[in-house]
Amino acid sequence: MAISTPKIEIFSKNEMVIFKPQGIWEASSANDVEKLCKNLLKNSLPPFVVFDLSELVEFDTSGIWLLDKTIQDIKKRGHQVEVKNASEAFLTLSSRLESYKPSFKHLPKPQTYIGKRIVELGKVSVNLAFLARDLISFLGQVVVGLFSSLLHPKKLRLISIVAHMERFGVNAIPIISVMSIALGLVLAYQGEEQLRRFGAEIYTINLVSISMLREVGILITAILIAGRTGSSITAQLGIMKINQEIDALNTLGLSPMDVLVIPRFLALILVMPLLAFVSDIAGLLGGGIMVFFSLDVSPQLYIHRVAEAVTLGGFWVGILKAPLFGAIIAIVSCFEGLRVEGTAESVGICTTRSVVEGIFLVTLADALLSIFFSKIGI
Amino acid sequence: MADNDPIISIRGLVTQFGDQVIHDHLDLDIFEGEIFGIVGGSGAGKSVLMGAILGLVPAKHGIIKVLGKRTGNLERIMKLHLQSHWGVLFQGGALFSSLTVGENIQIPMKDMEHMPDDLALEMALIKLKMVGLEEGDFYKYPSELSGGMVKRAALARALAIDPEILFLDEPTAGLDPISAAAFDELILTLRDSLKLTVVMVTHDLDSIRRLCDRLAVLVDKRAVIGTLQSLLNNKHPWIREYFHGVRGKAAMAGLME
Repeated sequence: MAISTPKIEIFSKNEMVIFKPQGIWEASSANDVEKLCKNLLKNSLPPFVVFDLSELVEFDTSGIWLLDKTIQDIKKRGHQVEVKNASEAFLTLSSRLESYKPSFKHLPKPQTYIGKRIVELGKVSVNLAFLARDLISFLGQVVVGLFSSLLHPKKLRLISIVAHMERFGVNAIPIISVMSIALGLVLAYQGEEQLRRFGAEIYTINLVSISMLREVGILITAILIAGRTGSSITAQLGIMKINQEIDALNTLGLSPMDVLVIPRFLALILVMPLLAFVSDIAGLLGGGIMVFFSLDVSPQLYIHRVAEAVTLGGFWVGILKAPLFGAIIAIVSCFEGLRVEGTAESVGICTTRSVVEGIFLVTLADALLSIFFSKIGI
Repeated sequence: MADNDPIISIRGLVTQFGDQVIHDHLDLDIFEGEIFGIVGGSGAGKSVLMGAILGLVPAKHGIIKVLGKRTGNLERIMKLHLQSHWGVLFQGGALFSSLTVGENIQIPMKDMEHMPDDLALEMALIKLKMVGLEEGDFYKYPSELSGGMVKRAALARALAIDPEILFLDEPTAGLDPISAAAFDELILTLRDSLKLTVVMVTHDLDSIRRLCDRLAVLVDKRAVIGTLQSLLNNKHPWIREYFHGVRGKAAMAGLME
C-alpha cells in the first residue's frame, strides 16, 4: 500500500528491458494507467521485454485489460515478451477477460455530418406523414366509439364523465378567470390609448367586448386547457400504457376507447363552452374595471354600451367554437398519451407534443372559422 | 483495516416509518469475500435494510460502517466516495430508460471515474460479455430487452467499475429456472474471479442453497445470523416454517438430517 499512484519501473539490461508495474491499477486510476501504457509504446524497445508483475497487487479488470492490451501490442511489433511473477488472481482474471474480448463487430459505422442530416430530414418527414395519418385514423376511431356509446347509452360512464368535468372544468375556473380579467384590462388599456387620438375612446368598450367574446375569451381558454388538461391527460394515459394498465383493460374485455378516451372527450366538449362563458364574463369585467377608472364610465353605462356593441351572433360565434376546440384538445392529448412507448423520456416527448399540437390545431381551426364566419356574414 | 474486520458492520440499527418500527436494534457483520443472503417475510424490512446500508433510507439510531468507515446518510457516503466501492442491482433493474444499454454501463465509468471514452467503450463491451449478453445488445434500449436481459444489463452496470461489494435485490425474481440457475453461476464465478463481497436479498431457496455462505433471517425486527446448516436447526417458528415448509423441504432436500 506504499505507492498508490500507478507507475512502471523500468530496468534495462543490454538486450532486454524489464517493466515492473506498481501501485493501484483500478478503474479509479484508469486515466493514469492508460497514459502509462501509451507512453510505454512510444519508446523503441529491445528484442526482449519482460513484465515483472511481482509488485502489482491492486488491480481490477480495467487495469488487467490495459496491461494485456499493451503486451499484445508489443508482441505484434515483433518483440519477445515474457510475463513473470503474475499472481494467481491476475492469471485467472486475465484468461477470463481474453474470452470477453470485444470484437466491435456490431458497432454502427459513423456517418458523415451531411449524411446524418439528410437521413434525419427524411425520418422527420416520414414521421410527420405517419403522424397525420394516425391522428386522422384515431379521430375516426373516436367517432365510431362515440356513436356506439350514443347507441348504447349504458356504455357511457357517467360518473367518470362528471368527475372529469370537475377536474377539467370547475377546478380550472380560478386560473381562467384571473387570466381573462388581466386580458380584459390589457385590451381596454391598449385600445383606449390608441382610440383617444381620434377622440373615440368610448369605443374602447366595443373593442373589448367584441374581441373578448368573439376571439380572445375562447382562445385563451383553449390555450390554458391545452396546457393544463391536455398535458395531464397525455401524461396519465402514457404512464398507464407503460404500467400495462391499457393491456389490462384490453384483457378484461374493456375497450380503452370507451373507458378512457370517450369520457375525457365528452367531458371536455361539455365543459369548454362553460369555461369560455366564464372567460367572456371575466374579460368583460376586466375591461369594465379599466374604463371605470380611466374613462369614468359607470357600471350601468358600461353594461348598456356592451349590450349595444355585441350582437347575439357575436356571442354565439365564441361559444360555438368552444366544443370544437375541446374536441381537438381531447383527441390530440388522448392520441399522444396512447402513443407513449416504454420509457420515461417518451412520456415527456409525447406530453410536449400533445400541448404543442393542441395549441397549433386550435389556432389553425380558429383562423379557418374566422374566415368562414366573416364570409357568411356573422 | 485488519483482514478479519467486517467489510460491513451494523450495530443497533433502528429504522422506522412514522410509528412503524422496521428494525429494532439490529446487529449484522458481513465479511470480505462472502456471499451474504438476507431473507425474511414480505414487509420484514429486507430492502429497507439494504437501503439503510446504501444511505437511501435514513437510520433513526445505530451505527453502520462500510469498509471501516462510518456512513449514515447520503451526504456522508458521497463525501467518502463509497459509491465507487459498491455496485447495486435493483429489483426491477432500474436501467435508465432513455439511455442505451451501453450508455447505462458507461455512466459509472465516465461520470464517477472519468475514464477516457475509448477505454470506457471497451470496458463496457467486456462487462456486457461478462454477464452473458451479446455485443449487439450494446445499442439496444432497456425497453427492447427481456426481463432476464434487463437483470444482466443492470448487473453489468453494477459491475462497471469493479466494485468491492455487490448488492443484489432479488436478483433471480421473475427469471425462469434456467436463467435463474445461470444467474447463480454467474454470481459465483464473478465472486471468485473479481474477489467480490456479495450481499443479496432473496426469496429464492435454490439460490440460497447454491450461493450463500451465511444468511441473515429478519424476524421480530432483528437479524438471526448463521450458516444455512445452522439455520436449518433453528427453533424459531418462522425460520422453521421457512426452511421446513413444503417449498423449503424440496429445495433443501439432502441437507436435513
